[in-house]
Amino acid sequence: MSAAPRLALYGLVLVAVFLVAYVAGGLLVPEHVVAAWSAAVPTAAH
Amino acid sequence: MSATKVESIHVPTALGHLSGIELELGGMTCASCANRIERKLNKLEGVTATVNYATEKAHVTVPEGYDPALLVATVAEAGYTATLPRPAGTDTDQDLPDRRDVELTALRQRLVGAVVLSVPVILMAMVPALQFTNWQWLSLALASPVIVWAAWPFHKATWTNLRHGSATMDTLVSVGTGAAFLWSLYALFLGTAGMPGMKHAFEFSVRPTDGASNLYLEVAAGVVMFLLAGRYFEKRSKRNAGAALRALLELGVKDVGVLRGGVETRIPVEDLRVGDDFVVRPGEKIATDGVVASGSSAVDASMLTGESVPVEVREGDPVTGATVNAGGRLVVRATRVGSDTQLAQMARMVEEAQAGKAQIQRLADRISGVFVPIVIAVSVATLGTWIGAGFPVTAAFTAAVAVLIIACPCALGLATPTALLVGTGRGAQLGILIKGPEVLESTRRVDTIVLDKTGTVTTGTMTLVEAYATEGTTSEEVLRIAGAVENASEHPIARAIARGAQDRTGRLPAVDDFANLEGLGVRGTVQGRTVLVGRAPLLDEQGIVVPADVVAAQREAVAQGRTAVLVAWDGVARGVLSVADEIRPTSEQAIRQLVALGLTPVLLTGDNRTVAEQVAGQLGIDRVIAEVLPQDKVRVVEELQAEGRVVAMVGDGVNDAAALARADLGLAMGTGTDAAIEAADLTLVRGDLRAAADAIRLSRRTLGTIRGNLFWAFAYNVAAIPLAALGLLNPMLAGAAMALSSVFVVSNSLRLRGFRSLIA
Repeated sequence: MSAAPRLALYGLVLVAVFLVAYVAGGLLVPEHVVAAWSAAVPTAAH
Repeated sequence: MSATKVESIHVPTALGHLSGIELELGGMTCASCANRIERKLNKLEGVTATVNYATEKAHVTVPEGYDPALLVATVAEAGYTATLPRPAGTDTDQDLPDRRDVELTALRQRLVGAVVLSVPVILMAMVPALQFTNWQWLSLALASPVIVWAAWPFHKATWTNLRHGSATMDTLVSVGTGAAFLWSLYALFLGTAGMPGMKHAFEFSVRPTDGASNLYLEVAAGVVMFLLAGRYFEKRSKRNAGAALRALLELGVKDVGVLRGGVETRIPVEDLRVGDDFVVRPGEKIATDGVVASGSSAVDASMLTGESVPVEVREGDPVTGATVNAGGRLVVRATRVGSDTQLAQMARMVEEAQAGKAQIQRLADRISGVFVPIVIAVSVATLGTWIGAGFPVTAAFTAAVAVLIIACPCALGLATPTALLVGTGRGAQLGILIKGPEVLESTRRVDTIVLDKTGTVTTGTMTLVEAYATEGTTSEEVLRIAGAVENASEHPIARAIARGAQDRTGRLPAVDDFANLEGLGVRGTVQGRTVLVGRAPLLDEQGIVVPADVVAAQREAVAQGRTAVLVAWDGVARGVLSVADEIRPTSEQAIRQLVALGLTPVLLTGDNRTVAEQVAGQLGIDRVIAEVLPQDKVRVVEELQAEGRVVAMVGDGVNDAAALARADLGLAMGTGTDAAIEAADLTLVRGDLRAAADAIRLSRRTLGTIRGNLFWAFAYNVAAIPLAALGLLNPMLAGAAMALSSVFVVSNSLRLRGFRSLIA
């Protein structure tokens, strides 16, 4: 397989990984963990 | 670009005649690059190309009249550079700096710059006491040139590899340092890291952070510094692979005495033409391949063909260029000149052997090729998980970028070079010179060792072995008288007899009326006696009777593979002198050591079968391949490799060069020719075959150390990836991982200093 199709395929794999992780994060990480983290870590942006 | 003079090789094909062009390539960082260029060039119509990664050259066969600019453009399109050979009459090699020296100088400049700028950055980041107000801006000013300019070769290689859809160690470094640099810029300009009075606390605790106050400039600068150091040491220790060809071609003579109208004129050998008659005096090298036109002599071809006994030649016999005239004056008619000679064919064989050798991708690049896509995927998964869980996007990016930063192993660049430095240094102490990292990184284990005979397991010089005297004479007397006559001859057998006679009997008497009887022997008068020393036909001619016991002694010597010389005076044969190429005293022990390492020895020689089998029997070698032409030595190595064997080869002569280059591991005797030394992967400096066993053990041990280093270089950083993915990474942890893995790799490499030789 030449470079361009190979890179395109890898890009698609990354998109799939992101989507799966996004869904998994929403399902598996409890809300209280997010709330506790937000309370413990101050925001950083200027 | 205009067409350039190209070397024509006159091969008629359906396309007409073909020409050969050699391109000098640049920008290759690994064996994959060479394969890539070769594929691109071979796609051009009418073009056949082979690329040699070691010599950084492409040999291209094209139809005559083909525009070389198309080849250069094709290579440039692939992301590399190609230059054409300089036309004749322009600057010589002495006027222009060697390309490797230029590359090494540029690398050294980047390394020095990186060290000078990175050390303060690292110190400031790791030592809170040095973190004065606004220290982080100085850190940025110092680290930026390191990450952009000093690391430029990594970024450039990453881009080239990306265009071809592959990843190497350069990709890992570029992604890691780029992520660290860009995150640090974000933290400085948009986060809290740019606030006056900001400090990096000296703590290794693991706790959540949004990363907006975290700088990773010291990680990026430190990685670049260590990797450049590794590259520099590797490049400096790598010997020039093209030197093998130069050493071969330098064997030829520079000028020759040509006979024109009966007058001898010296001309450069390049001006010699087929059909020219040229003179070769005793001791001189024959200028080119030819046929003896007049005269007779003995020609020493051992360096070229391995034949241990000089070959008698007379009018009409063929001779080979670069062999040595050991006897009388010859006039030779040239039959082949320039690139058609046997020497030139040998040079092509060496080049083909080097190009054909499996171009093994570096271990670190192979690991990176798999590791980089996985790390990027983990980083993307981290990003998705954090955003999907509901964390702020900035926090998600913090964790994702931290994965990329910590995945770049700093010690990766040191893993191979440190082991090589220590391993090659220890080897040098033991008389073993290791040429380059590719030798040791071969993951296959040698199981067969091919040994050249003449000059490798034997001394390579004829030596007096035995003196037999008939009744009424002593062996000392035979030696003394024969030695006196032979002392006046330049023939290698004569020199062996004279040396042996002097060693055993002391000062030799003077000889009068010396005569060299070409092809038969010598005659002289010693202390009033007319002495004849030579072959049986010489004595037959003079009607000398040879007693039965002398005949028996002669036959026994020949049966043992020796050269037997008869000695007679006053009309009676008095004795037999046997000369042979003696086995080195250490060879038997060396073979035993190699067998103990699990290697199967094979004796490979151009010499005759009787001699070869005699030597093999004494050394305990079961497999013998004899009477082999130089080009067949390569074929033998290839056949053994085709059997599934991993072949090491030990040799010393010009005729071994191509086979040494093709073998999986080539070992040259330090006492041998430059061509063999430059073609081989290892050199046994002291010419002691026992060092071959040490060399193989050291190679195995160094390879094991490299593998261990690579494992630990990755282990520390891979263990930290989960911390980074969970948003728990801080610059101190990242710096500690970098420092610990580097210290471990260096310490592990230093253990190689304890390697012990098997030689007592």
